[in-house]
Amino acid sequence: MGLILIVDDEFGIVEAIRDLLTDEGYRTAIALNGREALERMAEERPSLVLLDYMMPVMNGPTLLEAMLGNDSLRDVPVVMMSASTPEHWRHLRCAAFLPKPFTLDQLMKTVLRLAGSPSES
Amino acid sequence: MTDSSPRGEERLQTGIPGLDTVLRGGFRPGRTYMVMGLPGAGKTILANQVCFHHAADGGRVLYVTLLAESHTELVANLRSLSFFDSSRLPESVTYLSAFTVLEQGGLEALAELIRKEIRAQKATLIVLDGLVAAEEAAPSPQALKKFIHGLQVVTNLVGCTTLVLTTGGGRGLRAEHTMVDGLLILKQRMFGARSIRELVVRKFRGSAHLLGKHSFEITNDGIVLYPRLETLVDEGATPLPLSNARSAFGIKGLDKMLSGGLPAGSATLLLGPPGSGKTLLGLNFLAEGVRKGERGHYFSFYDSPERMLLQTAGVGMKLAPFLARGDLEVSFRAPMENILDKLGMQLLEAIRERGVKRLFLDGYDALQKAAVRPSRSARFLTALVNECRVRGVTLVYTVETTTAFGPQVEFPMRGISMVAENLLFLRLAELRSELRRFICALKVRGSGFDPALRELLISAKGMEVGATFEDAQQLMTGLARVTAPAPRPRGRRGK
Repeated sequence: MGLILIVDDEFGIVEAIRDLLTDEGYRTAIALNGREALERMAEERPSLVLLDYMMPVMNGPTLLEAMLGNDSLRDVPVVMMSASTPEHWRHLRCAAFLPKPFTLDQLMKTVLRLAGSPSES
Repeated sequence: MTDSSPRGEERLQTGIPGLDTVLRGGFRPGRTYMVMGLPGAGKTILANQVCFHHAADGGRVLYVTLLAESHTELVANLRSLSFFDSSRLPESVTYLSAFTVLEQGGLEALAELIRKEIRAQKATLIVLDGLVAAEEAAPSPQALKKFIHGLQVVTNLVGCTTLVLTTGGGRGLRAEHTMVDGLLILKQRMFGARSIRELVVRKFRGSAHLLGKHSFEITNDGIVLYPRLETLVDEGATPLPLSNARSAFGIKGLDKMLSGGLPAGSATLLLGPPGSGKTLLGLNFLAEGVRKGERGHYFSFYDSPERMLLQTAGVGMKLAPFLARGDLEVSFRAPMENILDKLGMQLLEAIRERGVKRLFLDGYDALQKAAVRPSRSARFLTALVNECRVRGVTLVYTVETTTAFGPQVEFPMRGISMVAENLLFLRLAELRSELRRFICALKVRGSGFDPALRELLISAKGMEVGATFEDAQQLMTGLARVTAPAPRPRGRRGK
């Protein structure tokens, strides 16, 4: 089963998404900033990244850029999660965008579309 | 009021009369609110009332208790309340006990249970009853904060509104209580032998709400909340300018004294001791309004409708047909343990919903008793007067003087200019071993008036304002001195 990496500096949100996806049967990992995420991805290539836009140390767009410059990570689908207005992230090469606040239903539909059902991923 | 409210935002209505007004429409969906109060404060009733209202609206409710008490007992206690609907159980309203889960698995197990049950039940509203048990189970305050924050994130993601009920552990407000989206505090306070229930919305993120203490009562229909009148009256509304139109009393002599009557849309204070004729003056004012096509409302603390009809019939007034037609309404509240803002709601209803144009409030003293806090009655009256001004309602109200006789007259209230444009003073005076009533206008704003002290005559034919007391001095003291031969009385005195 593929790994879903959740990257967000808000621990409560990361934990909640992790628990909800785990309840659904997905395998998950968490990182609190872009640098931590890169380290985690060096250990295991994820099948999907849920990425927050604004984070300390390394923010979402910088991590995205780093992934695009890395042959093994270039094709990993990224879902950008952001409370900012679309003009800030429209130009980014992401598989999907989730404007914050989003609902669990929106999240699950996006994950299902990009990572498949838990049994498939 | 607080910060701005998101416009047109969807709300989860509480269904509790008055609470949705205080919350500007209800709770914000998907948000977490804490309801805090000592045992007996009304938390459980409030939460269950919201639950059954939400279920009736098509929502699904999960009620999770963390306490050792059984649901059977809880439901049994709710059965006597009209909002309880057993047909909603268990599909729309589900009661679960998490006591054992919490005891055995701690906060993490509780969080997991809640997360899974919310999704399994497709709950749109969850109540967590007894947070104090989670507080006791938490290894540290930090762990409790983390639990609450996690709960908030999950329920927000799922779109499930959350009510957390807590006693606060009797240790007051702490940091973990303020991290939620809203905090409602229920209190029961003693004023002498009297107990008053009050609700305060201490915090309500992302929305305006009515600040301060609001009284409530627990009835057979559940909680009924009475928002403070001062917060209900539109502060931004401009009072209508005083017009030249007059609201007459229909009393010979008095209307002449007042250049045709009271300015329409003004507030008038009738000040005088018991028996000086205040109530009859006010009723004449209402009756004359009805004759002129203006609906009147008599808000009485002392006379029931039956007693009022009997009294007025004795002085030639026929009010029964006015009552039968609905042109004159009577609200009678015995001056016992009234809730001030309940009275306020009833007054506002008369003014806003029933098109009343003349309002007679008899009397201010009973409002003071209902206020429990002495400073409150003046603010209440100011709000009421302002509302009447905004709506073009002519208000007359009575205030009793503390003494009937004597050289000193004390005004039993301060800041009269704020609450009355006009002031009519009634008094009893002893003259030649006879008790005589008199009336004088101390103030009529924006209008000429006759400042003379004139005799107020009450007979079987009605009321009349007669001549001045040219043969007497020092009437205002109540102990008049004769200075010349007395004129013949123009009417029979006494009711």
